Amino acid sequence: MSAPLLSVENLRIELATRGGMVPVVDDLSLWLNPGETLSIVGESGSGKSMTALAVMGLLPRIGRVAAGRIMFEGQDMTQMEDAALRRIRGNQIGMIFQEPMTSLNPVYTVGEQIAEVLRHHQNQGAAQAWANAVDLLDAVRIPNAKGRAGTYPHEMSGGQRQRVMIAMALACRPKILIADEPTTALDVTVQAEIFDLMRELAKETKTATILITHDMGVVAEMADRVVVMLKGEKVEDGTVTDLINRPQHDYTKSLIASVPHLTPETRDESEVAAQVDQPLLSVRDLTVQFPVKKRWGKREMFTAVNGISFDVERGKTLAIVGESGSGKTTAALAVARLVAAQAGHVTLDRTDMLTLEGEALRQARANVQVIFQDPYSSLNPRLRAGAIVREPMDNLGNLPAAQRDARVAELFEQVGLEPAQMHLFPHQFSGGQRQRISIARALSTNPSLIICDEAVSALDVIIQAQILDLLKDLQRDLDLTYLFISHDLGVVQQMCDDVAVMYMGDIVEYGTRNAVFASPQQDYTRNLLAAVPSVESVIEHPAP
Amino acid sequence: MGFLVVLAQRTLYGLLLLLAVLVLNFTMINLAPGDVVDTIAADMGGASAELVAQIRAEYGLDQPVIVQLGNYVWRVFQFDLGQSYFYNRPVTEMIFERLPATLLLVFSAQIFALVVGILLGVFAAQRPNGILSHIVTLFALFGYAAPVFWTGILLLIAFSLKIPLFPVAGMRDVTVEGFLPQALSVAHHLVLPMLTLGSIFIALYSRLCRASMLEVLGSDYVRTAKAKGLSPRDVTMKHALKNALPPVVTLAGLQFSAVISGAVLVETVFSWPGLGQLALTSILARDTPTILGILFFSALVVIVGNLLTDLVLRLIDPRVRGKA
Repeated sequence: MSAPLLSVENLRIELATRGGMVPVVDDLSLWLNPGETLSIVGESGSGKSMTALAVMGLLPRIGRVAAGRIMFEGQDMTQMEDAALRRIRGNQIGMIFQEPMTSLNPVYTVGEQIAEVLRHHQNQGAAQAWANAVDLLDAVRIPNAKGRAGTYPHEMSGGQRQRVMIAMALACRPKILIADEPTTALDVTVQAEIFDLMRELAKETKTATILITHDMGVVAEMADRVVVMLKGEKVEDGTVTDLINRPQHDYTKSLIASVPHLTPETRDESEVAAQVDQPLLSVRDLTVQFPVKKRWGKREMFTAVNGISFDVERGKTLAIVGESGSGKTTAALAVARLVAAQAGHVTLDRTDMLTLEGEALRQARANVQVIFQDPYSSLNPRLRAGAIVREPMDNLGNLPAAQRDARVAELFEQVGLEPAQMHLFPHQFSGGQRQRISIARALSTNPSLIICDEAVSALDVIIQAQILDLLKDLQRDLDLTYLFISHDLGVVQQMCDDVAVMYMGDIVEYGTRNAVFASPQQDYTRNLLAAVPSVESVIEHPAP
Repeated sequence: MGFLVVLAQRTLYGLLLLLAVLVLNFTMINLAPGDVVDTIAADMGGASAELVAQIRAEYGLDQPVIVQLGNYVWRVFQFDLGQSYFYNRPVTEMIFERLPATLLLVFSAQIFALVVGILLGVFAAQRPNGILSHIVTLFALFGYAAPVFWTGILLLIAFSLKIPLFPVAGMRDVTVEGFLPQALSVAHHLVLPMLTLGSIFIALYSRLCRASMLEVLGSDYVRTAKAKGLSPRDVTMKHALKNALPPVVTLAGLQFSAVISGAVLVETVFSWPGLGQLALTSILARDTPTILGILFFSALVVIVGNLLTDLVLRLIDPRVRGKA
């Protein structure tokens, strides 16, 4: 075997904090061979992104490499002059980032942003660089590349922007491509396309890839070798086949266990028998439209939700799955009267939700509460946790004021927080704990329906599992009904009783969980299921 | 939406706004006690009630306010701002004599403040906690806090009297001839008033630009630019600055009215022959048509300034172009 292209030796990265220098990566060694794909896997805070940034020489100002070497083509990159490093960055080593929506400069055309790299590193003239940029856009399968080169990032979809990022990173045919969670922000079908593209281009250009991810399914489908990181240290490494079939460390095992298995276990379908009651929530022909363009008073309407109907039984969970833009969140928010519906009927607990006005509507809000996606931005940073949970009771509850604080303490215990933590501010909690606060807030008015809008999507897989367990326990204990909005089929499969698959504003498939997952009727559902990365491809089945 | 459509739309809004300003100004001036006839009578050393009434009738001031307003608006739409009571000349003529001087001062001070403010802001954002950054902030705040006439007088003493680099007053040297020498002479006279007026706004623009740059420098696309291997100068001046500009340009647009009111003081200090001096004398003389005319043109300059701001923003940020 030839010498490795890149080797990281005993790397230690420290960040300056108020408490002094704190190591975020410690004693990390790894190597990358020409043409191979190495995956670094771990949860947020494991140091995997910091490692990538250190290789690029792009650590934030408060960070520094405290010990170790990063050897690239016989040179230690940690000792290099900035000018020498800049000749490698974007030229020999390209990088793509997690957020395609914000990683491109909004005020320059995509063609210019690619051509710039070629002008800078390869001294190409303006016309030649532009022509090459168009070719690159074509190579990453942007339709009508010549025309699209002159468009701005905001005129492109997330998947297209990530393709542009890939074109930019590969423009100078680098020896190494570092991809930091390149598809985490994208829909699952788009993710599959991006991975296909990366595989193909890497093979064609013989580029070695470092793929950073939290998803073992992605590792199984993309990587040759894998390094598992936890809290800044390497816990395990090896070839993908070895590691997935024979994980040594408990953490690796839990990561593998968190990958969804979309082949359903057989459950007895006793649920069919119990349907005598009127459903708690009944939605009929719900339609939501938004004005998109207003030109001299003329309006064009965009139909986000196109006359959909579904029911949710009391104590059950209906999951609405779909990709971004499918209308799933809009539909749920229309049920809660947080966006206005143009037509249809929503009956919750025998109340017609869509005709309520004024004070009656305000009071009805107590009966339907929402848990939002981002626990970092959905809690008011200026309010203490206890006040956040108490606020809905102050506004809506019929609980006497004197009992509310006791109720807050009770809710904190129910969601697995200490009542003493009531006095802390949101930033003093972790992401998972914040989502527990959101859940306590949602429970505070004793609603019969809780809408979980991508409630676990922003969390690490292991925290995600804990929150899902909490939601299930609460459902059992309090007889809660969930409308569960998610793009993550693995999560949906763990949570729901029934599934509605949405696509472009319509429900394309609707049925029990087993029916939808085991024998999807529609092509769209089948594609969606097939696009979910799984570890199946590398699992060794013992010979019979 | 097309560029011309937006331009037409904004121009229409501007005209409506101008009409509102016209009505409002007229009403407010007439709410204030006293008129030009009181001043004339005072100058004459007193006058009988009959004479006062006669003069009022002559100027049309005996008619109901609403009729006066109607007449005024109608005349303005015919580009006639009336006759000055005090100078006894057409107001339009007097304003057009002086408007170029004020426009020159206002726009050059605004551009000077923007260029210097933005550069200082960019510089300060490089090392936000460095000693130089603090010095920049202190210096800028000093310009903001100091009264404009005081700054002006100080500059006059320093650079006209002690070190005679610049002329003390006026707008041009009447002894020079030919276009280019005259233009140079005007530029020479312009330096101190422009510095004085601009110094107020440098602080505002540099503070905002610094904050805006700091935010942009932490953004993902700046990280992308660094990952491309671009030089620090390209990262800052090409990728970061263009994204940091919109808030600064927006503020500059909003500050146009403040620049014009600042100009009134600066013109007085430097004897700059602009609208400011005319405004002062006509206010003292209660010369209503002249005051109204000046207010009208000030409003016009503000509206045009804001229109320019909008257009510049559309040039900078393609995302604005998509919206109405």
